[in-house]
Amino acid sequence: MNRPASASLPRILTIDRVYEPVAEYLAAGDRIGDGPAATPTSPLDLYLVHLLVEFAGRSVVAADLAAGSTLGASTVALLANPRVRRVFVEQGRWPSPPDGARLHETVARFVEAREPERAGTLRTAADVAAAIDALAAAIAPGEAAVAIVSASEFRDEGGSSATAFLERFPEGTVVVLGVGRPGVDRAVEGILREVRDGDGLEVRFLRDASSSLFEATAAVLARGATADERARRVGELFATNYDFLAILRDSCLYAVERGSRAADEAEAGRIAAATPARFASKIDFEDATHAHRALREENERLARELREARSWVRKGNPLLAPARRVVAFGRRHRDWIAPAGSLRERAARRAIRVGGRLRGG
Amino acid sequence: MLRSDVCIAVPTWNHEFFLPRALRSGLDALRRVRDSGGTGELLVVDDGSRDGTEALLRSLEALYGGQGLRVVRHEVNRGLAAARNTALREARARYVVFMDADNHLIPENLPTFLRAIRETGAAAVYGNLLMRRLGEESAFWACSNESFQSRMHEENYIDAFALFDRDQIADCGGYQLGCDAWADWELWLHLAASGRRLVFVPLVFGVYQHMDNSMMRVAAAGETPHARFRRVFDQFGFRSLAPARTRHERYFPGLGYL
Repeated sequence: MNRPASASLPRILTIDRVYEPVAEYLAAGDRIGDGPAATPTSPLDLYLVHLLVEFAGRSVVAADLAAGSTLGASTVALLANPRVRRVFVEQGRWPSPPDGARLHETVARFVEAREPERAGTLRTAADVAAAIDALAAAIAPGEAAVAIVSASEFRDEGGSSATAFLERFPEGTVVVLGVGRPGVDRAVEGILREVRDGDGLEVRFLRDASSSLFEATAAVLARGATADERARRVGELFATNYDFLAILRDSCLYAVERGSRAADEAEAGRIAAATPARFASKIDFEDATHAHRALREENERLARELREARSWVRKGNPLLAPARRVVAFGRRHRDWIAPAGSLRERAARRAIRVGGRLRGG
Repeated sequence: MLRSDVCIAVPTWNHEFFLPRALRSGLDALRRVRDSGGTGELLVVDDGSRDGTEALLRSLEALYGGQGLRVVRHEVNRGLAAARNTALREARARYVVFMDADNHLIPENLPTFLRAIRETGAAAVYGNLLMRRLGEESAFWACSNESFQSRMHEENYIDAFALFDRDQIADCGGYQLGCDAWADWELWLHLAASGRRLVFVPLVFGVYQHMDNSMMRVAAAGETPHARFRRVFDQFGFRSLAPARTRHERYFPGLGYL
């Protein structure tokens, strides 16, 4: 099943490799009773158990207090890891398969057939307290203690097994399987209540460690910074240079930019097609936009100057007042300056018409 | 223990950049297979990658394991032929597609190739491959678009990107170790010489990514295996005249042999 565990480097296998023995075990469904497991174990959750065991230390002694609810799947996963020297399971609450064999016997038979050198790794105890006592007696200096519990314990019994384990093994790690969503699963509130009331207890829900783990139902419970450190290491394993949401965002922005550029090019093509031949030389669309803006500003400047010139002509011209006085004198005395029908009168009328045109009338 | 109809095997070594595209096409192809009543899996064999592929595959396996994605890893790099043989060993299906990580499938067409290999009983069926350069959206060429002929002894024009009968390949010893760049050519010649049938289906199988620094191109710049293959398969120069169970075989489901 596995090579002997080497000294210190954790064996980071693939999910498929870790789950392979469990898949084989579960495929023999007729030997482990009817109906689904009370605590379903996905390949991802059992992979997280594998990682947490790998991070726990060189040698691990484990108590699988969720064996009955997982139909032995969690036990097989633990036994498949050569870093685990001994696994204790509780005898009492396992369902009896159709052939009458006890579940722990079925698991032991499966593991020993698959890997004979692992014979004797699985031990039984009468109940949870006895399993914890047996683990305490078996653990050697330098070995790590790990327990697996089901989330259902936190819904019903307030997590007594987990807290008893951590009281006995202050540096131990508890993996909780089958934790649902906050607001939906009462186990979440149960776990948080234990942490709040506990002495230095911390919990980390592994679905929060990485976006790739959003379907995980495993949580790690421990004292001090252990839970945080283990969850962080798990999260780092699933961190990649590929932030999928960022890739999606960048892809959308790139598509929008390409579409916008294509639309600009299409518009430039339409303008070029509609432009008279004398303007048909190829002009860059951006240059044309700049030229258009410059022409508009020049036009506004000239219009402003024209308005100012007209205003100056109408109001402030120093020649205007004398010219008006001359015209008024001429009108008062036109009978003798330019009698009706005379040549002088006709010339004067022509001059007035021309003056009117010059003023823009 | 066979559980699926088809296994899409993706051997990869430091191809992190291309993997998502290849795996996406594989998962889409599996969906098409399921829609046509079959089952499938997508098996990635990581040949000891060190470029970030391992972490990427871990995330993808967590996300897509339920859709049939499996990952197997070599702790050390063992070569392309060894990776393909691992895929042959680990595949849980009768039929195996070998897809390099820089290529991708045309998902809609895989069911047709599956039907072709079942109906012909061939050791392998293959189709056209559109060749595309990096960054371009259109193919510039097509390869693997002829039936198996004696000319294969002179030049390899059929890529390994094809659908194989795992049992027949395994019975013939799988891929030859030690000639990674030419392992697929060697396998084609070995299968043909062993009396196995290699059938061309005139349909696009996938897209082949043309790379300037691919293993094939780097190998082609050095020693070529022609002399060695001649000694192995055609030492006396009579191969083109000898009887061969597979020659010019073209088949399309629903139409028959063409």
